[in-house]
Amino acid sequence: MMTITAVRNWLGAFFLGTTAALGAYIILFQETRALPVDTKDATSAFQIIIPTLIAQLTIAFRWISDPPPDSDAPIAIPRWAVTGPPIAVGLILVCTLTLLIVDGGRSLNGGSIFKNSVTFCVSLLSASTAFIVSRVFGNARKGASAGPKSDGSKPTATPDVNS
Amino acid sequence: MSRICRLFILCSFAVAVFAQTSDPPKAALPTEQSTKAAEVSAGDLSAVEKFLLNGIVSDFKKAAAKTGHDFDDQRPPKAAAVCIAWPHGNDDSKPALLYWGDEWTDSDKDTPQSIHQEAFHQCDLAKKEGEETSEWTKLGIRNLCECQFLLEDSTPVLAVPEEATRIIATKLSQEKVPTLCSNWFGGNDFVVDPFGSSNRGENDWRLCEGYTEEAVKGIKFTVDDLALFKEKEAKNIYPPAPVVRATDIKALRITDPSWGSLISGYLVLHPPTGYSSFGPRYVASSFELPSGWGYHIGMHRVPQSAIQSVRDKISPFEHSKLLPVERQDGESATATVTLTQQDSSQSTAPPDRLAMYIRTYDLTDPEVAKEVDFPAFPENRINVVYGERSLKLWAECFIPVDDNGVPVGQPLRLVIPLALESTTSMYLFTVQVVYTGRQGSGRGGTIAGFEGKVFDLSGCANAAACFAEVRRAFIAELTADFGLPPLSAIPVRKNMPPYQARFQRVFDESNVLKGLSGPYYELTTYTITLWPGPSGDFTGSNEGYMNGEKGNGRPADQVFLQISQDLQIAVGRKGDYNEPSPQQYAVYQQAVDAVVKRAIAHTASELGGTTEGGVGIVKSASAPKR
Repeated sequence: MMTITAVRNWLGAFFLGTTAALGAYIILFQETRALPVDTKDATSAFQIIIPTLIAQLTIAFRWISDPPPDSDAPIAIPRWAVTGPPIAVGLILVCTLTLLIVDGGRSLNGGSIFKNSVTFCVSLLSASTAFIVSRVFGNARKGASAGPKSDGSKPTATPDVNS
Repeated sequence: MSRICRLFILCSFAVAVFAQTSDPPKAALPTEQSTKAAEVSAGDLSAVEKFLLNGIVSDFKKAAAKTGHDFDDQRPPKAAAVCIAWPHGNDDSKPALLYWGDEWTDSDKDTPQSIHQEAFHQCDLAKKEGEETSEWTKLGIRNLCECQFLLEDSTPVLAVPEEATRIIATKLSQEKVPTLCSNWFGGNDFVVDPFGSSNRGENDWRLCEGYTEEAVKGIKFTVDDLALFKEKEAKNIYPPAPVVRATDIKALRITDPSWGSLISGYLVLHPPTGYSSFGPRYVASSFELPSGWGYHIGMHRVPQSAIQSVRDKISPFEHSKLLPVERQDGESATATVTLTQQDSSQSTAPPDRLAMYIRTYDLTDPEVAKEVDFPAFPENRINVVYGERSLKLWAECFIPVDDNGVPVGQPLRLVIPLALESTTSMYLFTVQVVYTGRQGSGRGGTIAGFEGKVFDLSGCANAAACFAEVRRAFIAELTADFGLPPLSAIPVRKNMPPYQARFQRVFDESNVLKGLSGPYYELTTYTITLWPGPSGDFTGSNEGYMNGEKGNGRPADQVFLQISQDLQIAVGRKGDYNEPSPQQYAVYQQAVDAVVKRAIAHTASELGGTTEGGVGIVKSASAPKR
């Protein structure tokens, strides 16, 4: 069992790292030997995976930017369910890129493989980690900044249903 | 107070725009039924009058803009007078603005009358000056026109002559487009299906007004060729559409090998019959018809209810792959899969063939619209006065390919139109074979890269012997140099026409584009032609010399070279082979130029000659022994 804080840290770091690294990689290295797929296929892959990752990142950072009081209670989700899909996705992407770089466009249809690979990763995350993200990051304090602040006092925290 | 007066001649442009002519077919066509009576209604006349007036105001705005005056609603000229050449008699060309005078500002001293008079005076001055200096006047040709007021108090007041209105209205009304039967759409197999979908028997014709059984039997809807792309496995090669924009033609240096000048961007909407392909190699296609027969391209309006259905079916093919070509003597012969044969008088080489693919043209781009035109387009019909404009044209393009289906030349400049989308309608095209009583037309200029003179043999006692020796040595040198990096192309071992050699690099990594980007793989064919010709002007063309022409009569002691390159590239061997960017073309151009220069220098050196300004000077046919 992982604690809820550990799950949040793990997933937050995964989505931030993956989004930044993969997005930058596609943008910078498309149509080069580091990503031997043409611009059209690279853009397609970018458009497939980045919105999904950005959506998860948004959910995480919405929570992180304004977290409710929280206790570090264990969460009833097995560790493999939390870490498995991101690790699998990371491995798939690394394997795909390694394969494409090693092949160098000599025998594989890189564009097709890369697009299929990222589509599969998006499906995998949507079917697994997306649910965990919505649970562990789903209770950000609502309306915290919308209340009157004329007396300068801090707004009252909303009770956390998970704690 | 500023007074501007300029002369402006738009005659030739206006005539070119409106001088579209077409030979009316002699067979009964669906379109012909409505073209017999070009009656003009009073409403149409009124609309045409307004259209002409707006056109002249628009021409005046463009002319004024060239003199630094932005004519808009906030700042119109106070008065303007124009001298217009109106259509009259048998002349049905568009009204042309020849001269004008205008007055933009007024002072306290000016009266409305003085402003008007000044504009009129400036127009008269411009006319007088223009007529005195005009080249036409020197030739004794005068454009008769009188200055008239176009704007008074910033309001259009020009009276369009009734005769001019009627001539233009009649001309625009001649070309009518029939509307297809609404129950011909929605089938699975064909975009347009005049038959019943279940049983294609004689009794299943679904006819409607304007479409008799006899007429429909003779026509083929070109858009139904889309089925071929579904049925056959196409290669992932994406040749470019024939270039039409003058700027692109200039950037890519697409030249007419007959003259070495840049080609015209005009695209002919016609099946590729008897078309001399790119370079000196004659290519004819199976669209060739017996003498006296020709093609009639018809345009038909799609009913509003079927537009979406047609759009859905045609949209996936906007950028199709290259359809594989079947051999002429092969198992299946399809009407639209074209096979080419070489002019047998020139060589016994196996024929190149034509492969087809579909591309679109954006007709909202004025530069493209200028080069892609058809008599039945909305711009040439009465619809233009009601605001209908062409938006997009789908066309079947053709490119010569070798036995392996690899493109070996530039796309033909003859394309078969499939569909046209306008601001208000959608149109489909038909092809019909008709008897014209003369040989079918459709010949056009050829396209290829042009390199110019490479050897000067004027010092040779026997120029013919020198040429034979130079050709042997130069081709051997080119074969060696083309085989080396960066081009790394191998000679094509098949019989080629006289003076011609071909090199290819197919599905291999491009050394030319090697760098941080890529890895690029290429499909490249270089066709090299070498021929002797005379010095001076009017040296003639390689085609001409192969056909026995003698150029300007001087001895053929110069050697000319032409290199035609067809190139598609992909990222990765199995990627999509598309047209390279102009920058990538330029890199190839530099590499080829370097190889050619090196080969010239080596050949000249081998034959004991020298090189001056990129031209090898050879004075003897015998190579010095080294």
